[in-house]
Parts: sequence; C-alpha cells; structure tokens
Amino acid sequence: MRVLCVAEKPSIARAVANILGGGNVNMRESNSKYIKNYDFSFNFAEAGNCEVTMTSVVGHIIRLETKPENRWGMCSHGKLFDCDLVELVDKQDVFDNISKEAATANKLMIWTDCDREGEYIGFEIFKAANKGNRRIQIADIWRGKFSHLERNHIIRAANNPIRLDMKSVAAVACRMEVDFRVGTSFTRLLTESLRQHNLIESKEVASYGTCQFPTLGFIVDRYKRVKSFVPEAFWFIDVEVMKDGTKSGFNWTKGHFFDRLYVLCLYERCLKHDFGTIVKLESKPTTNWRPLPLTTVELQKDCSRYFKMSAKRALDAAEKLYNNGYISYPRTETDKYPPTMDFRGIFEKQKQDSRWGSYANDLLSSGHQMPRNGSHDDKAHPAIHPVNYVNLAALDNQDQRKVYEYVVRRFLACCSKDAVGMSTTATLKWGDELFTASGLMVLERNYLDVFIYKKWESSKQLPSFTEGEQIKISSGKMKEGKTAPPNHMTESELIALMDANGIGTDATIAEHIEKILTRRYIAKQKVGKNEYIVPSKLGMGLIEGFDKLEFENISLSKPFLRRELEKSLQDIVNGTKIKAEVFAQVKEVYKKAFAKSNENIRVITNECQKLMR
Amino acid sequence: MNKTTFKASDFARIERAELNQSTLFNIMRIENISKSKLNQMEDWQHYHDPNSVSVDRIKNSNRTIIREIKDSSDDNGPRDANTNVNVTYKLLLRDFHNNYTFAYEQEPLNFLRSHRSNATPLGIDLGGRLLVKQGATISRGVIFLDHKNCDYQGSHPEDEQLTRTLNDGLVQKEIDILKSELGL
Repeated sequence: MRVLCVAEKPSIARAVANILGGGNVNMRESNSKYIKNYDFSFNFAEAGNCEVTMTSVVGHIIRLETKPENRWGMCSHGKLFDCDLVELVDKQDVFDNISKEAATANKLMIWTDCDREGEYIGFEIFKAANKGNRRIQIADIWRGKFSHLERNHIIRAANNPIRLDMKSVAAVACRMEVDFRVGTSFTRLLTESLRQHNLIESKEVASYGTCQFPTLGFIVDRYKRVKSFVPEAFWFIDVEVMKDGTKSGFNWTKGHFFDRLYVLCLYERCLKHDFGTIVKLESKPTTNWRPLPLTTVELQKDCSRYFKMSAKRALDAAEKLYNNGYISYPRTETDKYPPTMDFRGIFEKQKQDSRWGSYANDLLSSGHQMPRNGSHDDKAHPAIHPVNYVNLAALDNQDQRKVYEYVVRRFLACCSKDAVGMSTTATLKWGDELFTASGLMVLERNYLDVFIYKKWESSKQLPSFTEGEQIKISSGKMKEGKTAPPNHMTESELIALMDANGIGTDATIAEHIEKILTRRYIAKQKVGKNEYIVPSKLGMGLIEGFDKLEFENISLSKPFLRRELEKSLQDIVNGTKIKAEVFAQVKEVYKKAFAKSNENIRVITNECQKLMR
Repeated sequence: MNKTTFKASDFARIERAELNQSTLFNIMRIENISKSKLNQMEDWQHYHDPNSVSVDRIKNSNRTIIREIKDSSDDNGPRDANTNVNVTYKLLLRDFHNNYTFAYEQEPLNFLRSHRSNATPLGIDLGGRLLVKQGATISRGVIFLDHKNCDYQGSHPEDEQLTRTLNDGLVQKEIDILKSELGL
C-alpha cells in the first residue's frame, strides 16, 4: 500500500518524514523549487507496512477569483456580491505535484496545521489529489492530529489518524467568500474614488478588509480620545502620620471624587479631630501568581511589551522555532496543558542550558508544580511550550533567541511555585473617614527567579503600629489632582483589543496590523522608549468618512460586525448553523452597507480631502 | 404631606446642621461623582448609539449593545456602572415649592442601584419622590443621605408630567450637558 502524506509547509514535511522514516529517507525534487518529495516506509497501526511519500504545499494552493467578465473595470463594483466566482489554482506546480504523486497512492494523509485554516488547506490538498486519482475520496482521508514535532508525538499522530473536519472546512469557505466579495468590492470602490481625487497615487491601492477596518478603527478611536481629552480636576484627602521618626503616608479608601464640595464637607468633619486611630492592622500572606500557560496572543503581547517586537516579528520567529522542532505549534488559544504532558522530559532537555539549566534541574530534583489551568481551549493545540533544546547561540537571529528564551522561561515559570510575600496593611480612622497604608515584604521569589521579565519587589516597610493606637495626624490635607490624558495605542494593547473583540485569529492578528501599515493607514511613532501606533491622515479620513455614513444599526469601522461573523463561523464548526444560511445573512448586511457607501462615496473622499489637504 | 420647604441657601454657611422636618423632594438629576465627566459621557453614549462608542479600551469590548437592552425580559445582567458600590451619586432634588438642593450619598443607597430603569446608565427613572427625614445631616447647604434618613417612594401619578419631561430624551440631554460642561 502506498500512502501520500502532505504537510502545510516544506519544513514540516521534512521533519515528519525524518521522524517516520527513521533516518532512512530518500529525497526527490519536484517541479516546484520549494517542494521536495520524501520517500520512506512506515508501519502504520491501521494499515501495516506502507510505502510513504511525504510532500507539502506552501499555504493555500487554491484561491477565489472573479470570472473574466467581472474583472476590475469590467463590471460595477456592487456586482461582486452576487457574481459567480471561480476557484483558481494559485500555485500550479505545487498542485500538480500532489496530483501526480496521488496517482499511484492508495491513501491520502493530511498533515496540515491542526486549526481551522489547516483543515481547509487539507481540503484543497484533497482536490489536487482527487484530480490525479479519482479513487481518493473525502471519507477515506487520514488526518494527522499533532501540535509539535517531538518524535513520539508524531508517531502517535501517524498511528491514530482522524478525519478531515468538514464543518471547519465549511466555516473557512464561508469566511473566505465573505472576505473576498466584501474586500474586492469595497477595495475597488475606495481605490478608484481616492485615485480620482488624487488622494492616493495612481498605482496605490486603498484596500478594505472586514478585519483591517475595525483594526484601524481601534487606533483612530484612541487617537481621537487622546486629542479630545479634557483634563478634569478631582479632589481627595491625604494623610500623613509620624511614628518612630518616620513619616507614613495614608491613602483615602474612598479614592477621589470629581466634586469639590463633597470632599470639602467630609474633610471638614475630619478636621475636628487632631488624632486618628489605627483601627486595624493586618498582616497576611500575599501571592504573586505564576503565569498561565502561553497562548499566541499572550506571546505577542509580551514580546511587544518586553522586547518591543511587533506581533508579526514575534509570530515569525515562533514559526521558525516550531518548524525547526524547538517549540510546539505557536498558533493556539489554549492556556492549559494536557494531563498527559511529560513535564519532566522537557526539564530534562532544558537542564543543559547555562542560563536556566540549573533552574530546570531544581524542578527535576525538588519536584515541580502542576501549571495553573486557564479557561481557554481551542481543542486543537496545547499551550505553547519548548519541545527540543537549542543553544541560543545556534539560533538564526536575535528575535528567535528572545522568543525561544521567553517560551522556555515562561514554561519553567508555569511549573514553579507562586511567589510569596507578606503584606501589612494599617487602617487609620480619622473622623469618619478611613485611610490605609501598606507595606510588602517579598519572602519567596520562586517562579520570579526564572521569569526574569516580571518585577515584584519589597516596598518600604511600615512603622510598628499597634491596633487601637491613637496617633497624631501630622498632616491632613485636601488635595486636588487632574486627570491625565491617555496614551496613544501600543501594539500590545491593539493585539489585546483585537483578541477580545474577535478581530482576526491568533494567527492573523499580526497580518492585519501589518497590512494597514503597508497601506499607510497607520504609522508607528516612537516617543521616548515606547512605540505607539497612530492613524495617518488617510486612515483617519477613511474612518471618519465611514462613520459619517449613517448605516442602519451597523458600523464598518467598529468590531461588532466582524465579531458576529466570527461567532457564526464558530456555529458552523459546532454544527448549529450551516454555511449557506450564515453566508446569506452576512452578505445581505455588507451588500446594503456597500450600496450606501457607493451612493455616498463623496462623503468619504471629502473627509479624506479635509484631513489631507 | 411633608411638602414642606427646604431652602439650601439658609444653610450655605453652616458647617453642620440637621433637617428640622421631614421633607418630600423630586429627584431631578443624578450624577456619578466618582467618574470624570468624559467617562460619564461615554457611559451615556452606549445608550445613545453603541456603534458610535469608542472601542479602544478592553472594558468596552464586551459590553452589551442596545438591541439587548430593549428587550426587558432579557436578563443580561446590569452593567458595571450601576452595580459598583464604590460609586458615589450626587442628586439634584427639588421640594414642592420649587427650591433646589444637592444631596450626596453618605453610603451607597440601594434604591439608586435597583435597576428599575434600564434605558440609561442610571438605576432609576428621574422624577421619583424621595422623602428625607427629620434629622438628616446638612453640610454647607447640601444633604447627606443614608439608609435611615431617607425613603425612596418611586414615581407618583401626580408627577407624571414632570417624570415625562425629565426622562424623555434623557440620554441625549445628558450627553449635551456633559459636553457643554467639558467645553466640547
């Protein structure tokens, strides 16, 4: 029996072939310079000893396209919502290689990444294979379920194939069609109108995407918040007492108020008293929790925060590390590890490192903690963790070194004890008002020793108050403060917002940000040590323009519409909705919005002109 | 009954006094003094048009939108602005002789957090009657309310006209007031 295995990327094909072939692998060139075919034999649990050819695609191999009569300039833009679409082979040599290899195969096994997109690429691979060999049918396809390239994990995947999930395929097909029809119609409309008014160069494109615009919307909203900020005064009561020669400041438990008279009345009542009383003195252990198992979005946020690395660079570096077998699949929403995870095996591999090796060794000898479990599970991949050890010096570049070190340290931190401290809080009653002061003593650093990115330090200690102690108020003042303007958007904030609003997935968030950057809708701006994202005048104008069009109950610049689509796609995956129904609904909404935009396109170009002049 | 007069100006210079007889008021306006006006305005905008609200903050990302609020049987839970006991409200009161005064919460009052109304960020409709009892604390002309010294009686049929005037278009009115106070 001959089995054709197809992975999503050449590096995965090579790695899986080497594992399954046990070193006895014969490599053949294909007609594509990127794609190699690997021949070997493997003893599958379900089919016994088989001849295997392992090859790959490079992402999607089929794309949607309009028919010639609907190309740009050939039809009205609005027609794109209803015209027939054709599927075109995007990478003919890659497609042909699969058809050719499938011709002599009895079985197709899909090794694409285990996520929705991977499921769909698996379906594209099936189409290529089916073209070369009509006997290959959907129902007979094997699908390898794997999330990293560790040897035993891959062998287990080969021996326990599952089926291609056609519901996920339908969800992606729906998403692709919506994105294509909405994207091309709006993009043609915007591009032509902006070119006409010389708002973009004659070769530039002004794209619209159902994720791009909400992403831009977040940035514009923040920019406007900063620009329209008005400082407001607030008032509070501030108390200091002297004890054993040290001054201690106490904070009002009520915080502050935006009403002077209110604070003044309460303050006046306090002033009747020269002394305050320590009504409560409480020392209690406090815990600084070890981090949760790592998701893609957390990885991107932390890389942005700690290393000033863009989401795209972080994900690119993580992908490289995954392709080389150093870390698990880096696109995951799951923040827990499976119960079967071999923690000790991973510590064992990491103990040779000169930086964190001794820490890993301690976990081996003194025992480790079970990581905390988060509440997210994409049911496809575990949280990101190191798989194989690599010396940082052997990695290609600084980004990969930083990401690898971060993934390892985060993993070791997850398996460590929480940091423990003792916090002491004194409560002072002055008149009717309560004030508190606290001090923190860090007792055991635990995970903080390996997770060097996070700071938690002892604060100034409180003097030794006793409960019931009367103490003279050395200073009790009513103070005024002012609200401070918010900062512009940082990339880590933007990622968090996109994630919380369902704009893009862990895998595509970075692409959307990159896209609006290359479209020059946004720019990155450095202020001191921090980098902020601000809209360009063009980006501003587009959002302002779309917001001026009064759509019925929807907004093209806010995340709500896209979030609903994401939810419906999940319903397709869960089997509670069907693709046709979801597609028809979503199409209607966007089609209406398009008609309105088309009719009032002057409003949008006017806004852009106003700002760009 | 209790439609006595209360003149705030009589107490303006007095640091602390007590209300000498129980007095009935209508609640004319409710303001959250724990929040900046900018933030209050944002709260109101959610009720005005959820599609116009700034979405650049995480706390805004999972908020319910108006479609859900219209459905009164929909028990989606109150919004955080109302449930927060740490919030302090300032009320504008009017007695039955057209005298206005401010009143502050001395402690969180349940009736202001009862969500009888869910069309605005406020827990109740405006125009309801509040009986402030004899002995309530007055400082510098403002009343300090606590559980014991006041009794919320809700909207009274006789005040129907007032209630309607106060509540009709309230969302837009509040946004306009806050805007002009901020100079926007």
